[in-house]
Amino acid sequence: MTPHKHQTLNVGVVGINERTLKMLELYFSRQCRGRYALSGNHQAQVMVADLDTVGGKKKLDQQMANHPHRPVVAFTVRDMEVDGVQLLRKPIQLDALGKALDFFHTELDHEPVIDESAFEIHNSMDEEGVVTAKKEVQEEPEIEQEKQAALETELSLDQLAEIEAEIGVPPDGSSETGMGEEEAASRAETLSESKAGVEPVAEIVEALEKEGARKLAEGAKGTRTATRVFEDKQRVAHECCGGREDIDMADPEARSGLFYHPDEYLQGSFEQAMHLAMDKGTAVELKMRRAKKILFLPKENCVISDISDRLLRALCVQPVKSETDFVITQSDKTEEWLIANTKGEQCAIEPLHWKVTMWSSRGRIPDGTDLEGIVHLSNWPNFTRLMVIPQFMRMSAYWSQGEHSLLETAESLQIAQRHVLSFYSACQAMKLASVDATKVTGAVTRVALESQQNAKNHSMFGKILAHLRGG
Amino acid sequence: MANYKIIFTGPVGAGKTTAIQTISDIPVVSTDEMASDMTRDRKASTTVAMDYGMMELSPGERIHLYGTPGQERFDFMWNILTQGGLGLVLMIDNARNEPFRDLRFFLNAFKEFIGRTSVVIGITRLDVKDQPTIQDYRRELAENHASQLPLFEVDARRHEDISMLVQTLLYSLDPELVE
Repeated sequence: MTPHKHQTLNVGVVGINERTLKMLELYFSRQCRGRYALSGNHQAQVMVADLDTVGGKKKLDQQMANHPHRPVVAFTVRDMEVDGVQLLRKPIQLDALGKALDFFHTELDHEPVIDESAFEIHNSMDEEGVVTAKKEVQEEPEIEQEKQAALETELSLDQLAEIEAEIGVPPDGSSETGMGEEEAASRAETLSESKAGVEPVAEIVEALEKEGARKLAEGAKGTRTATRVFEDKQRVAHECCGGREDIDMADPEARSGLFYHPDEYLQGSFEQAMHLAMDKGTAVELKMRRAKKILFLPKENCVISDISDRLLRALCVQPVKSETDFVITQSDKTEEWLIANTKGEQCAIEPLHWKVTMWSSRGRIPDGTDLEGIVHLSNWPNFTRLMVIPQFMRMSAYWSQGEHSLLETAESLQIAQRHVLSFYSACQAMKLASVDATKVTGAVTRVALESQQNAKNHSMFGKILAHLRGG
Repeated sequence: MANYKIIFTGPVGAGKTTAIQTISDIPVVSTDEMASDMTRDRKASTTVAMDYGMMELSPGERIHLYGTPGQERFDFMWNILTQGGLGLVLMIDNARNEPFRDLRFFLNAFKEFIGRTSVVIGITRLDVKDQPTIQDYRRELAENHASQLPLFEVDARRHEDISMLVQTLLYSLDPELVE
């Protein structure tokens, strides 16, 4: 196995005062357990900067000019954007810094390891050899994170709880509202009452495009934020389907490994508690070891949970060992009282259910699901509020436009089996998808591009996707 | 120069302008800003407010983002505006009195365009008014034999949300698409 180059991420600093430096040093050494270490700027893989100190911005600009590909996280009190910089608003919040660094850690972990000696060998290899070598390295972090997550359940619950308590995991409570009535009203959409008095549409379109081109030439920028790359890639990079390799479907033994029984995992207890809350219309508590709990509030359609995603994932991957692992109890308190008096993060039930299913499934489907039966997607999942990778959108589109089985989907769309099966499991748990075992698909037929225009669109769509994701 | 366009539609206040602004590479241009220039020599004519944004993929390759006038009396324009469009992003304001009526109206008004291309639906302001829910919208789509249409809760100001709407539109047009 090739060693990881980025197990400890070297963090350089620019414009950071002594007090903050000390704080970073403590944070890295005590709470990040060797994932990050302060380093000289030459060895740094990521920079942390303070844009508010004297000369801080200038120094950062110089660093960025010297190392244009090095990721930068910067603190500031000001409302500003700097291209290529992940900005964090002051006061400094270590959990936000941790998330940003975790993201870059993952990104760098996924980069192929540049091993000088291997590089020489690769140069003498054919192209196929190089590609294979890179692929091996890219797949490795998934496996390691799986192992780490599983280990954490047994070994580090106390440590995790301590870290969470110290760092705090602030609820994402920034309630964002949509556009207000006043704003809408001020943008009056009409200046005319009759068709006869309206400027010809073509003329308007032409004028708009000219004005747009002028603004573009002026260098005027829209409101796309500097954080978009971070947000999009973080989501894509999220470990939601495990690291299971594709298997040979002709091998019955390997095939049997694709199934799981949700009741043997946290997913089963989660769903039992959720259904009890919905059926009875009262709050229900799902207690776990170490006094962690998830509280289901059916009237508010939400949960309150004091479990971090990391711990929850670790709990999901392990089969239930005894009946006391998870205890379900009905609460006699009102939801209002519980909301006011329960510590933890409040969130909608659906996104948490989705995560729990994804992490319990890890590339498998519930027992009894027919791999060759036709998938029926009754509705698209509410992707904007769920943990999503782009393949899920492709599959939804595919299933909503034709009759396809799980196996055929993986082959036809060239998507890893684990992504197809995890996605189906989550949709099935949400009652958004089912398999009709009475219908089966025929041989795999890849849809050929019909015309030159389609091929042109295909290429253009790919560019739009890259643009939207910050490419 | 390769030029493509994506159409944003929906009732007044649903967040079309904000959504375009969220993914545009230029500040949104609105016809009401330019009205005085355009009508200087034409007293008889006035201009319908439309919004325009743009994504520049590479020099010479642009995606035009058009926001239609939301009011129904301008529906005669929609056919013209959608010509050559890649697809439709329909924004529905959940806080309006009859969001289901809006949904049906716009799906029907753009039926022909949607039939040729694709549509994705974004529901805004669910945080202002939590009823109807996404589940209610799903039922509404099913009753109108349109449950296969992608429908998501969105905040028009969030890049992630609007980006996902447009990405979904592209995948609906071509599920084989890879970046």
